[in-house]
Amino acid sequence: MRRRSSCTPLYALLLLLAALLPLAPARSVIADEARTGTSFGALEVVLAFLEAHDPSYVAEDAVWQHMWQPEPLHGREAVAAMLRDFYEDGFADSHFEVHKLVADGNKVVGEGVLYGTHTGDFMGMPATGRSIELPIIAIFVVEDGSITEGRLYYDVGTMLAQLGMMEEP
Amino acid sequence: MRFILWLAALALSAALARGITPPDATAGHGAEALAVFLAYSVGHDPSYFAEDATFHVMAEEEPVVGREAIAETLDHFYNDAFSAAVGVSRNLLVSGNVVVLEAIFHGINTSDFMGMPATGRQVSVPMMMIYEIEGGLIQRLRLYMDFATMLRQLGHLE
Repeated sequence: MRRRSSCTPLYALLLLLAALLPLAPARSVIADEARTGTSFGALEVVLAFLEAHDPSYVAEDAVWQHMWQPEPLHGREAVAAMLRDFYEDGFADSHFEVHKLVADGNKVVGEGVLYGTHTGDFMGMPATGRSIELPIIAIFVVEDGSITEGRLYYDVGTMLAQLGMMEEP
Repeated sequence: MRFILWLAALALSAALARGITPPDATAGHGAEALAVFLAYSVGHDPSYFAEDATFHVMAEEEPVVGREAIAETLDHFYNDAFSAAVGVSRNLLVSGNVVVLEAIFHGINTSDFMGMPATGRQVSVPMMMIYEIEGGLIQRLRLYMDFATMLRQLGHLE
């Protein structure tokens, strides 16, 4: 009994080491996936972007479209300007609440609701002080750790009605 | 004994590592949802909806509730308001019980739509649909599109 008891800490240590060692390569695999843009890596990139609205996650030559607009934005700088217009100028307190994320290969779909208060000029409209609650779904394509395509689907009439710019449907 | 414990620990750690594997549409994971979606897509047969399913056009306040009501809505859209109505797929994502379709809807407005008379005009409207499928049936469907785009193409909006 005494001999068995003295070995228990050693077994526990071995178990702990054995359990931890294979996790280290597992982490590096995830990091590799993030770079190559398979599902998990793509998901990580999109989640980080949605959290921070940081244009550095957007590829330099990305194509980005709000689907109610006839033409897409081209390039990181154009996307960065759009993000600034919305999140810093027009709707300073806004946030996107993610309800569902679907990843398949290097494509990620994010569905959620955008909340915000119209506190500054936006699309040529002066601040109204009104709140918006806008359901949005967006699809992102991720390549080499950056978002190369983004398409956002929502009903612009819903937003304009909430801002008092047009009649409620 | 140590060897057995080592093997057990390796197996445990491998299982832990698998536990943080990303969501994906690998075989058997999303396959059933995809099969239901594809079968439904052939003819928009409402029998693929659960009896208490919901269909929410996100520009509307409330969803359409129940298979019968959904069948009427789909029938009006595909067989009444628009003729030659087709959705051309741009992307299809599958993960677990969720299918997401990004498509462009094409159709000719041949009857009343949203209370407005037929215009005979052709529309091509991008949209995205998210299907939640359980027990072999569509339980929830949400549709995102910009109605102003459609009304503009119909000539109802400048």
